[in-house]
Amino acid sequence: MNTSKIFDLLVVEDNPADVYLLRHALQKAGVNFELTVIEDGAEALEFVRDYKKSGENQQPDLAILDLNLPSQGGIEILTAIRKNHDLADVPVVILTSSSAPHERTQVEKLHISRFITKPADLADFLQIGNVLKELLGSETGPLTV
Amino acid sequence: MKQNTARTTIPQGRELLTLIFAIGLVLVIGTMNYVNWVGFRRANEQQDITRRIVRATNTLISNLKDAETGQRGFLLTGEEKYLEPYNEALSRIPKELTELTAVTVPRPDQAQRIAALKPLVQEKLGELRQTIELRRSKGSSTALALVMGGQGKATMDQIRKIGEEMESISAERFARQSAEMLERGNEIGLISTFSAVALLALLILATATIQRGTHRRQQLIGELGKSEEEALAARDWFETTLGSIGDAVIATDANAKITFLNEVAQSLTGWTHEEAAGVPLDQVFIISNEETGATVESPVTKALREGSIVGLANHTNLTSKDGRKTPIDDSAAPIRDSNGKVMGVVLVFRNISERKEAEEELKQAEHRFRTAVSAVSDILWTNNAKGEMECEQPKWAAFTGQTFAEYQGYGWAKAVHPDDAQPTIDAWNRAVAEQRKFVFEHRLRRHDGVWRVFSTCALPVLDAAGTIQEWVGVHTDITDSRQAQQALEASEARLRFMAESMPQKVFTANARGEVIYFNRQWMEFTGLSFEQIQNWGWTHFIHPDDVEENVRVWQHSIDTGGFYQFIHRFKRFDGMYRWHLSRAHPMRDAEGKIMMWLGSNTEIHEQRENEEKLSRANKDLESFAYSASHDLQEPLRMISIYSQMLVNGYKGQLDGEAELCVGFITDGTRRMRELLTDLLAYTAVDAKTTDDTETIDLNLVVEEVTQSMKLAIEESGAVVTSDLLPVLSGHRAHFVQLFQNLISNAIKYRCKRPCRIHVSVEKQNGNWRFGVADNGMGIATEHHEKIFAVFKRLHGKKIPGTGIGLAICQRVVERYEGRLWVESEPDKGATFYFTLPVGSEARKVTA
Repeated sequence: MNTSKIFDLLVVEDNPADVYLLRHALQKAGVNFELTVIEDGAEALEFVRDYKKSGENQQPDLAILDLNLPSQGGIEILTAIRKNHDLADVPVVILTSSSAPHERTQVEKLHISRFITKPADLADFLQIGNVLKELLGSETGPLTV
Repeated sequence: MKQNTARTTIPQGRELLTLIFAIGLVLVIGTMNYVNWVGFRRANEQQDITRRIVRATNTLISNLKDAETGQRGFLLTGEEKYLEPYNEALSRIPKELTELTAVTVPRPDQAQRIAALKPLVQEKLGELRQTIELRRSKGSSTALALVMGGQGKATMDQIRKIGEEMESISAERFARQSAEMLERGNEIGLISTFSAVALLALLILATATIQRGTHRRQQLIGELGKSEEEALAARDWFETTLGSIGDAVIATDANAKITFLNEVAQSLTGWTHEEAAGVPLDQVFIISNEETGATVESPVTKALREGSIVGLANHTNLTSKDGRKTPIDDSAAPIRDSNGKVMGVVLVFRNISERKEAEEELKQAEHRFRTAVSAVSDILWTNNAKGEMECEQPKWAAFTGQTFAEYQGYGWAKAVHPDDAQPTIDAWNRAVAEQRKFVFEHRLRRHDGVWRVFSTCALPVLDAAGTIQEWVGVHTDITDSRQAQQALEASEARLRFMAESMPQKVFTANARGEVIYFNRQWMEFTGLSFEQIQNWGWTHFIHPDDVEENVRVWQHSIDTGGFYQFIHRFKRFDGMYRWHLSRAHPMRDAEGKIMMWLGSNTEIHEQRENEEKLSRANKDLESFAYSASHDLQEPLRMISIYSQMLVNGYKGQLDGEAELCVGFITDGTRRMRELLTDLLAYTAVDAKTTDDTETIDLNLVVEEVTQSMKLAIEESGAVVTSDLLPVLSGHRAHFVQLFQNLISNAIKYRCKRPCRIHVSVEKQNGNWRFGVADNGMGIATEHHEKIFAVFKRLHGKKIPGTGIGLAICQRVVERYEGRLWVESEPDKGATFYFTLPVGSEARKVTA
């Protein structure tokens, strides 16, 4: 793993507390990263649909989605990602407080790398940083849990 | 036919004369011709002999001449070759002489000449031989000299002379014989011509005679044929008639030998016409007495003897050839010729077995009727044409106890109740006077004095002329059925009263489903009259949304006889629709046929509204609980994590009191989370599940549960065992929750004894009864109910828990229509039992 590389991560998450914890976890794991955070679902959907690869604007290394978002659900955003040719290959991790089994089944059909239920324990949350670090380091394509 | 043939072979009168003459003529002609023919033949034969004699004589002389010619040649030339004719002739001559002798035997004169000829021939031959030898020995001159001597010539001349004599005699004879032959031939010709003429004449005569005869014969044949045809036709008619007769007919000759039997007789006796013809009657017609079996004298014998018509005694059986016995009835009559002489007998008989059977049946029927009469409990009686009781009335006497003397005439009326007696007599007299059926009801006094109600009916028995012979009547005791009917009426009145006074709506319908009764409550509810709602009128006050299905369900019950139940809305008098639960059962008769339907309609409007309200409230509550517990999780997670961050970030910087406070926050949030998680699980049990039910092997479920609790099990040293558990259908998560809670409780509430947990199962009343038994601290009886309430806990913080576990278990079991309970005593362990239906499916959870 190239530690000097700065990973471009797209985070769709309406809860700043969770974004804060995510940063904290990635830092603890020693990942060099840059976050693009979109808090609103509709905004995220628009971003994903209109996304175009260009010289500066490269495909993100990883997308982290929450499923419970105001105005638009995570599933719609994930579907849009898979439909956009310039984003279709992005590994996606679902990070959600929802544990509804039918939602999980639905997103797993859309080739997600990990499905993570937001832990209520600090140590467990920080462990997410290591999981993501491992994902970014692997050369393989999208994984399913 | 024989007579006819005889007639044609005997010629009559003139024909006979002609025939004799013709025969005589033929004989004469034949004889004459024969004589002539013999003469002709003889003349011909003589002529033949003559011809042969002439020919043989000529041949002999010719040969002698040849020999002489040869001799002369030799004598002159001395050459041997001239001797050839001589030698040839020499060899033939002896034979010719012999033949000549033979042919002349019938002619003595010629034979004499032959005899004279023979020495001359020898002499001549000797002279020839002598000269030839002389020529050879002495030369020609010596020999010629001898010839010249003339001896030879003289002999030869003599021979020639004899030859000429014979020839001339023969020629003369030949002519004579030819003349005789001609004469004979002429004679034959003459006779033949004459006979031909005579025969022609005869032929003409014969032809005429034959023609006449043929004509006559044809006439005769025609006449004969006609009479024969008539005879045959008569015979046919006779036979057909006898054949068509349903009775058997046998005819005999004067000696009682059978000459005829018709088809019926053949079938009854078993003899065919051919077999029976000429056979004595008593061999064919064997009859015996039906009862004694003794042989009966044949009526034919009697008829022949007495010359009169004889009938057969009754009870006679005819035995057929194959042993069949048929009852018969017969008669015999003599057949007389025109002089009144008995020629034979005709026997006529018939099979009377059917008649016998009918008589027997009639006898039996009468017997049966008599037996039936004595067997019935009804009183049967007869009165005379005037309506008076006359004969013995055993039934009447037995019931009333009246004596014959008492019931005689109109005495019977004394057994009738005093109030009914006069009306009975009046009605009876009317019936008798009008000769019509008598029907009445009255009371009769039984022999023991008890009054019984009777229905009576009597009919006049009419004879062929239509006049009354007698009256036959019957009294039927209707006391019991009358009482039963009264009881039924009373019962019906009672039921009707009940139906009218009860608050519920009731109705009855006939087997076709037409409503024939609505109680008062219906009229009050609808504000309509019975006439408006009877039959199918009720459909008009059913809610339009319900009516179609309602009619279908009701019709289905009528068609199948199945129980009817339906929930629908009826329109009240004020136009409001009210929910009702309607039910109807068919009432069947003894044969299972539906007689009527009994139905009730219960108003369940308020109940239904309440249920709906309750259901809505429950749903809201569950939905609220679910989202509350779910949404509350999020902020709680924040509190929990950030308080941890705080503790971690400021480790050592916070004072003891602040650290304690943060500790309480973390602890409180953890506990709050646990509660919310369990609450979520509790509400989720009845949550709408889209997943279909699946087949679940409970053995695997228990296995999975114990695996997930491996740590707790190892720490506690618990041993979990299980019976072989069944496979059920339902939601897997429910059964995991169920066993997880029960087993973890068993571990949590263990005591000092080594922890033993056993999962058992047995079938009970069509259900599975599961048991999760432990040997832990047990539960006091007073807590057995409480423990299933939400958040109910018996222990403090020492043993962790939310108090929702058993509530979840109960909810799961109830969802599968089972029951959960505990059996336990303190310190003696506890067994949690729950039932699940065999092959159960979770009940459908409706929204």
